[in-house]
Amino acid sequence: MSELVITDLRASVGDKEILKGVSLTIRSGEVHAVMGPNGSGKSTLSHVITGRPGYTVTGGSVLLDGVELLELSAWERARAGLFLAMQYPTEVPGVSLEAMLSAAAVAAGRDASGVAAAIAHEAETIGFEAKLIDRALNVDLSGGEKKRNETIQLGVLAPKIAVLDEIDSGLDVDAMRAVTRRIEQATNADEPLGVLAITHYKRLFEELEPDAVHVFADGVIQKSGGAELAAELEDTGYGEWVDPNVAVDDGPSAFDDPFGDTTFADRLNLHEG
Amino acid sequence: MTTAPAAWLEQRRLDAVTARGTTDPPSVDEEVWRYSRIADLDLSSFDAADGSAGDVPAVEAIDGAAATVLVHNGVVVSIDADDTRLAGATVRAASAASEPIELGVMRRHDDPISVFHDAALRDAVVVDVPRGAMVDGPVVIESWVDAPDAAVATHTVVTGAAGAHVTVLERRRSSGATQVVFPEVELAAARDARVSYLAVQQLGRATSSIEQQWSDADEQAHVVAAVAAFGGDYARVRADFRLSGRGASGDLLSVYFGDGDQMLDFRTFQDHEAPDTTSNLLFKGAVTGEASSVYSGLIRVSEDAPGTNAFQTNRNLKLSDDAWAYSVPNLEIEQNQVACSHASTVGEIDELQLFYLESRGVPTTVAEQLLVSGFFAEVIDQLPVPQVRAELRSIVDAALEADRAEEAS
Repeated sequence: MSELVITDLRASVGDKEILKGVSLTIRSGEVHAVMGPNGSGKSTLSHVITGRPGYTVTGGSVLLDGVELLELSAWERARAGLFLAMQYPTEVPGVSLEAMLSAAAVAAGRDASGVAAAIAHEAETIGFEAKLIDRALNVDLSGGEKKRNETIQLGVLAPKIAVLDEIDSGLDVDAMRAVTRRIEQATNADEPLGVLAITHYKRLFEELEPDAVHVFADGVIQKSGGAELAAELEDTGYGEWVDPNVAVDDGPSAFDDPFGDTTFADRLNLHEG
Repeated sequence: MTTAPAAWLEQRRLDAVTARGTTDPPSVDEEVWRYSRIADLDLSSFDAADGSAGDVPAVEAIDGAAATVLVHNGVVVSIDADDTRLAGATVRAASAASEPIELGVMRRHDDPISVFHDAALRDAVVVDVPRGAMVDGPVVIESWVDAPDAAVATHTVVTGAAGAHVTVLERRRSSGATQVVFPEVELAAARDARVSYLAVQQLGRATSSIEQQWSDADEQAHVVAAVAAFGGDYARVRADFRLSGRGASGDLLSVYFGDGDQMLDFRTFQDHEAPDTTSNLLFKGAVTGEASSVYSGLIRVSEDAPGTNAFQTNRNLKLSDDAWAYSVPNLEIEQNQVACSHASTVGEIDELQLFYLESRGVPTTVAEQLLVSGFFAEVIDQLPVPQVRAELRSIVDAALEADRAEEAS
């Protein structure tokens, strides 16, 4: 069993503090949802945990099975068993999925000869067209294809803990189901995956039942509860945690719901945030 | 084949030696030499090399070559031809021709470099492909230079008659001595012909190279003029690419990797002189250490060339703080019915692309290597002579690895 223990994590961009003391523990097989309004710093949380450049960690600790991740480079964190599914997967011209995952396997001391077969298997499982596999990473892929591609990588790399940054954005209903089922399956594998899922929307949880839901706003977890909290958020929105004077550039503008489901956004009362 | 050169050829050279005495060397005051290191070279101090004695280091043979020509200090020393593959084409040494062969006929402007070239010219490789002949496999020219403190000229003429197909690979290597090479290449494709040329430049680091490349595509013909440049001290290629027949098309391609303190210098001219012509230029390079690169390109569309499509892209990766890449694309258009574009970039390895690979567990140095290889793949995959693509990839990988090892030490 693995355990990711985040304790009082603080980070800033420039001199602006964005994470203001985040504590959270995720164990193998558990699904933790972090939900919050735009600008709350929840994407920053995923970036800081995985070591994306551009952030200064000012305090706290992130331990994966006792190893301090904050002292490791991004690739060493991945090798230790951490995975990030990006909200906007980067296009990498000229580099194939197989070349990247083979290099990762070699770096981890694993045999890279099975990587191509593993990719093909995962692609079939998730409904990613075989002809897209040899393309340069994320180049000329639709939003949904990119998220399927991220999920293939998760399947092949078989990490201990996965951070999913808005994996539901840009997905149609079929892709959403395929992606969430694959992740749900990983959480029930022999070596079960622990998941930190960052999202705006409850619809992610139709296939992927959360063990805990955390409301994230203003750089801290404001409230934690069970799956029922996600339903409660649908009724009440984030209004009570949103300080209108706080605006952090933390990803896309609000309401980039790919379905254009403004009524849902209205119910969440996000417009006033 | 090391016989005395043909009298006409030696006389041609001696005339140029005389002319050289009154020729001013190129100056950086001229736009086409701006930013170059030409002022550091006293071209007149390098006299013509006068020997092809001694051994030429062995090189790995190219599978499926139609002919292999060995050139030592500019003199053709052997031609190994496969007549079946040549399909009627001929590969000759100018020095073996008793009657004069016209050399430099495709020159379209007076450049002092032509005089310096001619003053050192002792031989040429002449490839003639008759009407409709399809040469099976590349004609390979292996050029080796070891002429300390001397100048060597190499000259390659490729002529494809109507409907002919031919590909030529020229590999250029040299010793570590201080020396100057003046390569010249003439590529002519008649109606419906297809002429492809690739030079792989891996000269020694004290060799300077000043090259002129002339291409001409007639009606519906296609010419590929490509260069992969890695070696040399100051290494320059000027490519004049002319589309003279209706419907002609062509590709100008280059990969280059500069390190140490070398300078790689490219000047291109895409001259559209007939209707419905197309040219695609894609030059991609990386510089590291204290190396520099210059790319300067001009698309010229004459008023006689409606329906022109001309594209010019130069992308540069700057891999160290002290490396320097200069990129100047230009257009000169006298015709309204054209589609032209030019793009030029100089940038470092993309931080987010690097993070993407790292976040999957790819170590930083390996991730950089994947990104640089990926950057070059777009060009390498288009180069003629597929047999050398893997070698070019490994040259780039090795250059990057050496650079990173040096940085770490």
